[in-house]
Amino acid sequence: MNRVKAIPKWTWLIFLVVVFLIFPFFVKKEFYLHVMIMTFLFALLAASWNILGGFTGYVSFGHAVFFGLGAYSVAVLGKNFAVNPWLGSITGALVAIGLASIIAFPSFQTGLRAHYFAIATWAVGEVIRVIFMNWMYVGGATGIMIPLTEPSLLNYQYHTNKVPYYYIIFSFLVLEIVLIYFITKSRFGYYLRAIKGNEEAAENIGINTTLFKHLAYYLSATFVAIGGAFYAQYELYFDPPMVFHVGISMKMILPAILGGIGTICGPIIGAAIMIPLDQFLRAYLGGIGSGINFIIYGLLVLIVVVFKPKGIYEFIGNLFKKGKGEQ
Amino acid sequence: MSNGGKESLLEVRNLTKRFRGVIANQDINMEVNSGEIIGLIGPNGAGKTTLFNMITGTRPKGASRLPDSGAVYFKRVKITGMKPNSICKLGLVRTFQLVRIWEEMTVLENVMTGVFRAMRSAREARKKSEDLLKFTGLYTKLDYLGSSLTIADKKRLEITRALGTKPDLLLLDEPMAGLTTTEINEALELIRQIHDQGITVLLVEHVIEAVMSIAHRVVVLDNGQKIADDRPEKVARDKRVIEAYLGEEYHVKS
Amino acid sequence: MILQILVSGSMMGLIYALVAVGLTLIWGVMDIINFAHGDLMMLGMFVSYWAFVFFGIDPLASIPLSAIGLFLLGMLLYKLIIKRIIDAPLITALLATYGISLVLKNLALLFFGPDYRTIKNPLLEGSWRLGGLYVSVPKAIGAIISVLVIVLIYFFIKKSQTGRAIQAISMDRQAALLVGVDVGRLYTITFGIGAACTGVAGAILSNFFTISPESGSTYVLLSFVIVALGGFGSITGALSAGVLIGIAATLGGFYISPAFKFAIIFAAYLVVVMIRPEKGLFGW
Repeated sequence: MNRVKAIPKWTWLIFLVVVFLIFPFFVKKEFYLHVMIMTFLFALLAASWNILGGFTGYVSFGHAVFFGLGAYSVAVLGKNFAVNPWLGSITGALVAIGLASIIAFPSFQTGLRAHYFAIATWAVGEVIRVIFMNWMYVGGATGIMIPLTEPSLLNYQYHTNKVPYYYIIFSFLVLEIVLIYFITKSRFGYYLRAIKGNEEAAENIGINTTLFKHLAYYLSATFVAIGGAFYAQYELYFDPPMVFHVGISMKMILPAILGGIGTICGPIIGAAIMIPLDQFLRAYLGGIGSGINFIIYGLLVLIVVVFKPKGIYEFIGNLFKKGKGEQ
Repeated sequence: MSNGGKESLLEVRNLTKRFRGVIANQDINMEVNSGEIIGLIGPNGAGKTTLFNMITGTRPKGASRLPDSGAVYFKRVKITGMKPNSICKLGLVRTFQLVRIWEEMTVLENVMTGVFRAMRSAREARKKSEDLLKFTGLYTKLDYLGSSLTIADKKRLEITRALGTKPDLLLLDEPMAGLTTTEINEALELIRQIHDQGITVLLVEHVIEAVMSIAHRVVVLDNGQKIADDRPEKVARDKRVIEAYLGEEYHVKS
Repeated sequence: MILQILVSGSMMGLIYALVAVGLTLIWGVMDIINFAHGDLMMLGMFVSYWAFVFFGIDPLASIPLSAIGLFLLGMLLYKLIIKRIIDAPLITALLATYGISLVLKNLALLFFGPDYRTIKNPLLEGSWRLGGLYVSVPKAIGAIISVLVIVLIYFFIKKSQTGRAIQAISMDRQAALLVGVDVGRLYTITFGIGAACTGVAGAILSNFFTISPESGSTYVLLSFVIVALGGFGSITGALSAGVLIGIAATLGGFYISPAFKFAIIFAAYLVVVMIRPEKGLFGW
């Protein structure tokens, strides 16, 4: 017998949300706030990636493109056209959807297989990165700076205070998680999982797989772009490698794998482990640290992938299952 | 073509399909009338799978889903060349020889995904799915993971899921393969019950006793051509069929 | 001018092809997408470098060293990690090899440092003048060696007993198992050969390329593109696609811009793949 036991998560979740909400009142040190902000950001990104990769089963290695497009949209529109960054974010999401459709149409209509799709997304990522490195209008390799304005929520910008950024990104994360939760309970969610489980069976059961793959991709890209826009407004300066490098794409995938691909909480758990580790190692070990944390990631990935492919989420889940043996 | 007063549900007209250099289906003509149970039999390589694929819109590996000539009509709509999901929406659904349930989803979730073809609300879909599972006898295994089921139950699940799409015509691809005698009898009983609900059934099968005992009519393919299309007793005595497939004279259990 | 570009491009292409052959072998036989392929090449480069610095061995002579060293490393990686992910879903394999890549690259960073290095005054340097063309000596010899190795591997796979067993498992593993083929051993060898190929390419490139732990990352996507274009598992495909890509890259670099050299290739790859999803340019 192999029964999946429902774990009562509500109490834990509310507890966590409350903890995170009051966190900035107790923790004032900038560095810790920064770590939390980065963790929330990458949890957002990983959860977004997971919509296409984990739920629908289409692995993308070039998801960083949407991150960068979100960042650059907000930066370029703000700098050259004085467009409000919130509008810039929405534009960034639209641009991301635009690019996603350019990739999706040839890929999904022709039934491109998983291997090829993964590499194609990686190739797109590289092409875009090189373009932005050499595109003077957006700053090229020198990067781009967000014009400084009065710190305010409307201007999506603060200078000395990290706390508002903390709440902004936390809100985005909560919003996305709630959305994903409702999706998993809806027809859309069932259909995505069916596509991942066996696409041909899904088609034969009446599912327009092409349509739903498109939708999953656009949804995924939108949230990543919003994350990118946030990043731009947070750092106030960036260059192409900071937002388009394949390492960023990997930072979206690894937490999802680590925490449990295809689950709601998995990417968050994964990010909660990886990002603080990354930040602390980098802070305390400096340049060498940057190398060591990747070695640790690499080993972590290997361990998870080889020994516990369902990720830590399953591991924790198993702790809650009361003695139901497997057949 | 005389239907004996029955409504023609599926019509295959002059269907020819070349596949991998062989003529897999040559000028096939057949029909399925509403309320019938039709068996499709023949030796390996006769073209049953290709015909099945042409009807269901499944793309054979490395080939197109269009026939070289001829067409298939379902409810008078030409379905050749249509994608499987569109065909399903018309009321034609299939199962697979190598059963394709979603292993990582529960029994209930599998069925709900099928039921969503007919309704959007998750709550309604759950209710309908539970009813279907009661009908097919899998209700007690509601929240079992697909991967934990026996072959027989997986096939039963696949059928349940297909029923969720509210089909008028159910195509079964070797449903008895890999089943024990008891399981075969249970499967036959299920097919009878489905038929009693008003659903027309077309099954491809190698287990001859099973087909002969349940089908109203049996279509026999050999070498890409249809060589018989009649009641089971008649087909069992047909010389061409015996030569091509059945071997010695086969006696139908009436 | 065109001829010059064609010649240079082909030579580089042949060297890229060697990397791709290693990758396509692993992919075709074991269905493993080896993300660490570029980093294995990088290690091949470093083997040459350190052999030169510590023992004064010329890069040309250290090719066998790289070959053997990477072959052994490949086998080790197989035994430790790869064998556990055969048959795993795509993403598992991708991430496992990505994990290996991370570890290898960053260990190299840690121990060798990030600096770019070059081998000074190797045996092979300068260019020959053939007619009106300048043919770079290291590239030419490198290309010749690459072709030799590719041909060697081709005949090994096609003609030798081990090679034919490897072909058998890539076509139908179950059947091969049934006739008693030691699949594990053959997979180990295959992975080793794949790693050795890329190691040799690294040794060749160390003659005239800068060497750094980052070197692997630059070439990994390129080798994937070559494999995809040539057909997964096809040695001849990898060879032809490699040459094509080499020429295209040189042409692109010359006529459009050096910075966009590879970007153009990737864009072209995207176009090809969208039009011919399964078969690349040459089919299987």
